[in-house]
Order: sequence, then structure tokens, then C-alpha cells
Amino acid sequence: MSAHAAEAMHDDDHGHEDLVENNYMKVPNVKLAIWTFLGSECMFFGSLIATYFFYLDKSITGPLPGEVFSIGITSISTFILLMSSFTMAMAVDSAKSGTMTKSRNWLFITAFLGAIFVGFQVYEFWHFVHLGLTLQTSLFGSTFYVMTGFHGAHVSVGVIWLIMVGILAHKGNIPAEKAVMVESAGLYWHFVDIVWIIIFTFVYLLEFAK
Amino acid sequence: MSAKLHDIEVLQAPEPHMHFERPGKTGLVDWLTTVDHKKIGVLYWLAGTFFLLCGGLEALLFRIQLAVPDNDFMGGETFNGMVTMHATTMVFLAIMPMTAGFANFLVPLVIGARDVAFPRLNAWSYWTFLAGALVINASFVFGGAPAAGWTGYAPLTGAQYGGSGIDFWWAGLALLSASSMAASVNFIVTILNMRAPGMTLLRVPVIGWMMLVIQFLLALSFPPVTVGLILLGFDRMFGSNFYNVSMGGDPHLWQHLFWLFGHPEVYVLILPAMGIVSEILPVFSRRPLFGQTAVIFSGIFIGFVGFGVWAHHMFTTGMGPVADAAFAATTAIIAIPTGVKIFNWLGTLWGGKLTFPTPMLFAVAFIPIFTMGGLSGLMHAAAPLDLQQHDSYFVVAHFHYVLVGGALMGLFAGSYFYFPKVTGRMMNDTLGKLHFWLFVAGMNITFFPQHILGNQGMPRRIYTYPADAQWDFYNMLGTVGVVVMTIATLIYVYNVIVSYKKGEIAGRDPWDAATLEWLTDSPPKMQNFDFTPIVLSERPVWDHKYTEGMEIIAPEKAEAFHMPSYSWKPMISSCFVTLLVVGLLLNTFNPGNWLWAISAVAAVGVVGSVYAWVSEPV
Amino acid sequence: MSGILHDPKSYHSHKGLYIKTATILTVVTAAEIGLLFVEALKFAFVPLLVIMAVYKFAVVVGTFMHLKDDKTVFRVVFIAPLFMAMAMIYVLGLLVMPHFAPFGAGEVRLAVQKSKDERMGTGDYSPAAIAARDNKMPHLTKEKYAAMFASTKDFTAGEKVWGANCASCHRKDGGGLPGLGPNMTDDCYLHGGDVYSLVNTVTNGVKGKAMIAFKAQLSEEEIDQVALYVRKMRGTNVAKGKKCEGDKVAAK
Repeated sequence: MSAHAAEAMHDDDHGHEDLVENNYMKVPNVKLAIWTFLGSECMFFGSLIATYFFYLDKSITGPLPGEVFSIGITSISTFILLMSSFTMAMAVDSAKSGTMTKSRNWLFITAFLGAIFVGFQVYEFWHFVHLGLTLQTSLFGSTFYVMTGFHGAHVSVGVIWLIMVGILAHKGNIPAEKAVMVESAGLYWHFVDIVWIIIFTFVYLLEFAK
Repeated sequence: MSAKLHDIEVLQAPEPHMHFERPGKTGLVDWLTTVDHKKIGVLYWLAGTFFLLCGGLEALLFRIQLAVPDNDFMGGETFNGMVTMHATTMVFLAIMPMTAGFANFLVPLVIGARDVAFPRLNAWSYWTFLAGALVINASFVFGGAPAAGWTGYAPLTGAQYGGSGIDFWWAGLALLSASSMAASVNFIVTILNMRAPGMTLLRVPVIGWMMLVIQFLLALSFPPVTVGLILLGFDRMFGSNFYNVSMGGDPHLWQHLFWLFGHPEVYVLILPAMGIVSEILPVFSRRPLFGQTAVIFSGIFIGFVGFGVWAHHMFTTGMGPVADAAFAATTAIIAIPTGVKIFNWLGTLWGGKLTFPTPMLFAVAFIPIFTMGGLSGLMHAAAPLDLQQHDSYFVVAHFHYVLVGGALMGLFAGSYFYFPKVTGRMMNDTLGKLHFWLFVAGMNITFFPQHILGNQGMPRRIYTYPADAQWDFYNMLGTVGVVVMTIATLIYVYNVIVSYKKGEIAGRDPWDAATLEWLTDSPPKMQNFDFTPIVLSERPVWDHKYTEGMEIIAPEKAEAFHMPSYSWKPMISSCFVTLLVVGLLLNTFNPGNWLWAISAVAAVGVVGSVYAWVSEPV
Repeated sequence: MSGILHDPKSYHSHKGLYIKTATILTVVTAAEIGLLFVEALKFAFVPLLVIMAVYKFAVVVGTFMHLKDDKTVFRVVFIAPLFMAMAMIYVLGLLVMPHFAPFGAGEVRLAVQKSKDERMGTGDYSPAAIAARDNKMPHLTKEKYAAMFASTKDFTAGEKVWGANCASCHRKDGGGLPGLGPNMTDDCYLHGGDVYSLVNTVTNGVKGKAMIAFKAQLSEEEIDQVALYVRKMRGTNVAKGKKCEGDKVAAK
């Protein structure tokens, strides 16, 4: 790497710790790291979903899934999360086009939609508890709350992450060359969305389809 | 090998221009804030060795209990605690960190990089590991060690049976899991993306490859057990029903989640030792590794199939003949790549000009001892036989041959081999050989008779046995063997200390070795290499020394690059993560108090420290 | 350095594609929910829903995460673990759920069921009984139960059955009698408080206890109705009821 390149790095490596030399696969370290991490997350959510299936229909006390699920609320929150994936894609697109102000706005919109999703989930939990389903009630309660709760926790982490990236973008700390910082947050965000796609179908919709 | 054409010692390049965001620190602060992979590697190795001694002491204590029949040296509960902590310590706090030490120190060196991909994340992994280790061991002080066995089978770990030790156990393991996940992502990116120019994947040395395979194993096998531990934590903290049989819960769930991690974990422990042995054998046989590509691919194959064998730990749980047969088949299949490796090591030795300094002794002894452990393991693939041997001392003998005779001896070999690179001084060879012979003798005296004990019907995890069981002779022998191994290990520790102070100065390339790490100074400079090496073969340093036209040429112009600066953020962030877990633990012991607020504050601290982290220039 | 740092000038915006993708996702999600109301397609609900979920998954990963035309290494580190996770879910399902299995691997399931039955005191673990319980109660489908739950007719009928058969031991208002039936109006159950467990207990009785099997005296419908009635009693906590017996279920 030339001295000039080192100089350039000095200017724009804020908030980034790649040693940018030797990128053998010609991909940014942080993006490869996120994809690897998401592979690992597949196994994490896979284990939670497997646990849910393991105990499906094995609760010895009610209420049963069909007694508490409400298709309306869940559909709305699912749609909101799906749309946040769209706004996230727009944030990455704007960042890559070099319009960081736009990207910042899209980031904050995405974080807002994510926060609404978490809000829906909090309401759903509260509602279910009032219907008599708690973490201690039955296997269904335990598996349901832990699985969707960990998904909600991931969304919350994503919201915090997006806000952080948004603030950095607002401060001008993300130059267009480092659009990968927005992109990485985006990959994580889309991942929590696809996990929800799976949970929505296999936990909620298939319950209604019975 | 032909005569030397070039000497690696005289290869010089101009001092590079390095840019740092902040001037470096010195002394203790340097060790607390370092992001240098070599220093973190040394920290890992030191912690691993310390816990190796702790785990050894625990083993010594319960072997004293087992030395004679009807002994009352310690009670059953203490014995269970000792056994649990011995295994947990040896697996998670000794062998894995020593492996991580080698991975940290060696991986960037063998692939020609200046540091890992995410130096601060690397430091975070170390501090989180250390916190997890301390949390697990804190159980000794607060209410007694966990006593449910290292496998933590439900419902022994449930709220009504397992004592407070289990809380420390799961919380500590959860921290270790977070640490391993971060480290694995970091190292996968490092090995895939930070290689020197010309270092294609098949030119990555075997040790680099084995480290890559185990990082994938860690990244993909830790999540299931993390989930298992989370479910356990929820059961204990919040009264959920995952392992609660009275609510329909199924303890098999824990076994599945645990062994989905536990079996790949076995390969996490053994593959690095295989990698180290694959590096050492060629150097002291003076010929390249026989079939290096086959060794690499068999390592990948072991890692891959390693995910499909977990339920062979569960043959006795009544999964049914179809599942038993399927898992017996995969278990038998995994012996094939292992056999390929053994064949290749023998092929390397065959016709070589062998010399036997201490690292070579350990590496050569590794082959038959590990093979014995592997073969007795293969016997367990036959489900009907496994039903007889399950939970007997035969199994104990099997996995100690693999983990002590295999993993630990490989790590000892690596310690002797790489000590000159890490410290710049040679380890004392006489003491090393004394260590080797005593250790091999002690190891076989202890564990070989356990095969017989197992077949005589002595079960695992019993704290004493009656005299008329006629198990007393072999048990006494086992205790004597452990004493011999303890003496050997103390000699090793003494050797490390003495050699660090007064060892012979090593120079860059004391063993006349083959791979890139021997190109640098001993100990390596902060930037590892003064210039970026261009790699043309899988043995660049041998080629430089012995092959016409394959020299490594140092550029005349000084290189310029950016190096990461020290940072407090990883340790601070790691402290907050630990505090979060400690808050949960306090809440478990004093439910109803506002102690969970500690966790809430810590969570805010985590977010704050991560923000400070990402906005800090490095 | 080139190829690592992003160059905004050479980047072509995908805005149009993203809007199109978002539209597709919206339509598919609407179709998923709408499908549930098309009774005629009930036989194909499961495959259709699974196909649509997989399609949405693939669209988000392929387009929004642009894995479709990104570097191979990303596909390797993501898709391989994804398939491993799927295999893990399938194998774990295989080991516990007979209907997951193409061949008989249900022993574990049977053992769990057995222990549950023993605990419940019903003791009936003949293959037929287990098969019946695997499908919940074949005669009492979810829809039927939901309809019953909403109807006052079944409730009154249940009340009548209760008065004729149960009140003698459990008291007219369900508060329980000392030495006889437990309180059915609290949140505690000895043999499960969900409607299926209640049907089971009424049908088969509890061996060794005063609770007799009612299958000879009551019709299937009457048992369903009285179970529903008992289910609705829960949490009403009548005055001077017996104190909690059995497992406490969270307050409704």
C-alpha cells in the first residue's frame, strides 16, 4: 500500500478498524464478518425454533396457541417490519450513491419502524399475559416467549445499531467510501426481518391454518 | 535436503513508516489495553496454563479420594464438584484458551498479516473469556462448585436439584460462548481475507487451516449450547418449564442442544493439536508434509461430519434403532479422515532424516497415543457395545487418551516448538525431555488401566467404591500416574520460567523451519513483518533457503501502513457485559430485590461503551 | 485498495428494484393472510404458506441483502450454516415427532407421553390412545372448540351436565368439597387445566381416586360441553372454595 493510501486511510478510518491492506478476497472485512456472524445466527435461531417445535403441542395446560394468537395485530407488526427492510435497503442505496443525508433519514425511519415493531411485541406479550399465558404457564408459554423475545431483543439491538450509524452519518463520520458501515447494519437488519418471516409463518400462520 | 542457499537471518528490509492514532502504552497498562494479537495470544496462553494447573489440582484431589476403596478424603458432593470443575476447567479454561493462544499468536504470522481483522474485538474476546473463567471459578467462594457433571444434564441442573454453583456455571459458560463467537468471526475473516499476496487457500499452512476449521465449528456449534444455557438460565431465574418434567418438559432437549455443541467441541480441542503436529513433523523429518492437501481436506471433512454425530452420546436414551443406526454410521465415517491424517503423518516420517528435540518427541508420541484414543472411540460407534461402555471408566479412558494424549500433548509440542518465536529464547531441552518421558509415563499409567476398570464395570462419577469390587489396584495405579503427571507438568512450568529468563538466544529461525512465521524476528516486532511477503508456495521460508529462484525478496523502498492503536474500550465493554451477567446472578440469589437494576445499568453501559468504541479512531 | 473502498461514482442506484421488491413482499404477505380465509384451499394451507414464506425469505436475502449477485464467499459463509440449521431442526423434529418422520422414530415421544400419562393418572397409553392424543382429540377440532367457546347453548348444556354428574363432589358452584372433588374455580389443576386435559380426565377418570370415568354415562358431546363449562369456571374463585391443589396455572 502506498504512503498516499495510508494518508487517505488516516483521514477516513474513523469508527473502523480494518487494516485495509491485504484484503485477499477483495471484500471489506466488516461485511465478511457480518455474513459469517449471520451464519452463526442461523444456528442460534435454528436452535430456538427447533426448541419450539420440540415442545409443540406438548403443553399439559392451556391456554393453547389458538386461544391467544390474534392474526390482526401480528399481521400489522409483520408488515411494519417488512417495510423497515425496504427503508433499510433505501438507506444502503443512498449511502452507496454518496448521499449521506438521505441515508441518515432512511436510517432513522428504519429505526423508528423497528421501534414500532418492538412496541407491538411488548403489547402482544402484555396482552398474552392477561389471557393467562406466562413464561411459567406451560411449555408453549416458555418456548413462545423465549423465542419471540430473543427475536425482539435482536430487533432492539438493531434499532440501537441503526441509531448509532445514523448519528455517525449525521456527524459526517461516514464518508461515502465507507458505505459498508451502513450496509453491514443493513445486512443485520434484513436478517432479523427474515427470521421474523419464518416465525410469522411457522409459528403464527400455520397455527391458524390448523 | 540440499545445502542452504540463503540465510533467513540476514534478510533485511528498510524500517517501515507506521502510522498510529495514539502513541503506545507501556507496562501493565499496555497489557490491559493491547490490541496486538501476539500479546493477546500470550495472555490467552498464560491463562490457559494457569487453569491447566487448577484443573490438574482438582484431578489430583479426586484421584486421592479414589486411590483406596471406601475412602473418606472428600464427600460425594465435594467429589462431584471437583469432577465437574475439573472437566469444565480443562475443556473451556485450559485447552481452549491455550489453543486460542496459539491461534492468536500464529494465525496472522503464518498467513503474512500484520494483525487480525478486528484487533479490538480480539481484545474483547480475551477479557470476556477471562471474566467467564472467573465467574465459573467464583462458585467455589459463593456457595459451592457446580456438581452436575460438565455435561450439566437436566434435571440435575434444575432449580430443585442443582445448587448455586450451576448458576455460576451457566453464566460463565454463556460469557465464554460470547467470547468464542466474537473470536471465531474475527479469525474466519482474518484467515479468509488477510492473507499475504500469493497465499492461495491451499498455500495456507495446515495449522492455519485447522484454526479456520475450528473457528467455523465454534461459530456454528456454540449457538445451540448458548440456547441450551439460556433455556437453563430462564428455568432457574424465571421459572420457565424447558427442562421441567412435571410440566411436560423433556430433559433430552438439553442433551441434544448440549451435544450439538459438545461433539464439534471435541474437534475444536483436537484439530489445533493435529495442526501443530502437522507443522512440527515436517520440520524435524526434513521433508514436506506428505499429502498436505489431503491433510487439509480431511480436516475440513472431520469438521463437517462432526456436526452429524452428536447423538452417539445418547445411544442409551432410547432414540430408537433407526436413529441409533444413522448416528453409528456417521460416527464410523468420521474415522476415515482421521485415518487419512495418521497415514499422512507416518508418510511424512517415512524416509525422513529424523531428529528428536522435545517438540518432535511430543509430536511423534502424539500419533500412537491419539490413535489409541481414536480407536477406542470408534468402538463406541457400535451402539450395542456403547450400551455396555456408556458411563463406565472405559469412556473416561477413551477421551483422556484423545484429550490428554492428543490435544494436550499437541499443545505441549507447540509450546516447545513456538517458545523461541514468542520469547526469543529456546526452552531447555533436557528439562523438556524429562517432562516428556514423565508425562507420557504418567499419562499411560493413569489412563490405560481405566480401560480395564471400565470393562470390569466401574462406573464414572462415583466418589468411592467398596473393597470387594476389586477395583483398588488400578485405581491406586491411576492416582500414582496423576502424581507423576503433576510432577512432569511442574517441571514444564519451571522450564518455561527458567527458559524465559535464561534460555539460549534463538534467532529468527532456530529449527530451520518452513513457514512464514519464521521469517520475522523472535519475538516478532509489533508490525510482524517489515515488508509484505509475497507467497509463492506452501513452504515459503524453506523455498527461500533451499530453492533456486524462489527467494523472498525484500523491497528497497520502505513500506507505509496504518497500525491499530491501544484501546481501553474492549475491556470496558467486556466489564459491562460481565456486570450484566453478575446482575442476573445476584437477582437469582436474592429474588425480589432491585438487583436486576444492576443488569439494566450494565446494559446501558454496554451500549455506551460500544458507541465510544465505534467512534474511537484507531 | 480498489475493490475494497466503495466508489459512489461508479454505483448505480437500485431504487426501482427495491420499490418493486417491497411491493412483491406486501402482496405476498397480504396473500398469506388472505389465504387463511379461503376455506376451499384448506387442504393446501401448509404447503402454500411454506412456499410463500420461503419465497419471501429468498427475495429479502437475494435482493435486499443482494446475496444474489454478491461475492461467492458470502454465499458460502451464510447458506451452508442456513442449511445446517434447517437440517438440525428437521432431525430434532424427527427424533420427537412421529409426523415429522418418514419412518418410525417415535419412541422418545412415546416415553414422554407415558410419563405424562402416569403423572396424570390416566395410565392409558395404548397405541390408539396415544394416536388420539397426538391429534389432540380428533372429535374436538380447534374450530369446533372455538365455536363451542363462543356459544351460550353449549355452556348451558355443560352447566346442566355439571349439575347432574359433578356437583355432588365438586359442589354446585365448583368450589370443591373436603375429601372429595377439588376446587375447579381457582387456577390449580391436578391433571391439567386445558380443555383437552379436562376432556381426557372426564372421559377416563383418575385411577385410584374418586374421579370415575364418565365415558359410559355421558356422550362425547356432553363431555365436551362439561369440559368447556369447567374451563370457563377457571379463575372465578368462588367464595369458601377449597384451597389450591395440584399445579398452579397462571391466573387467567
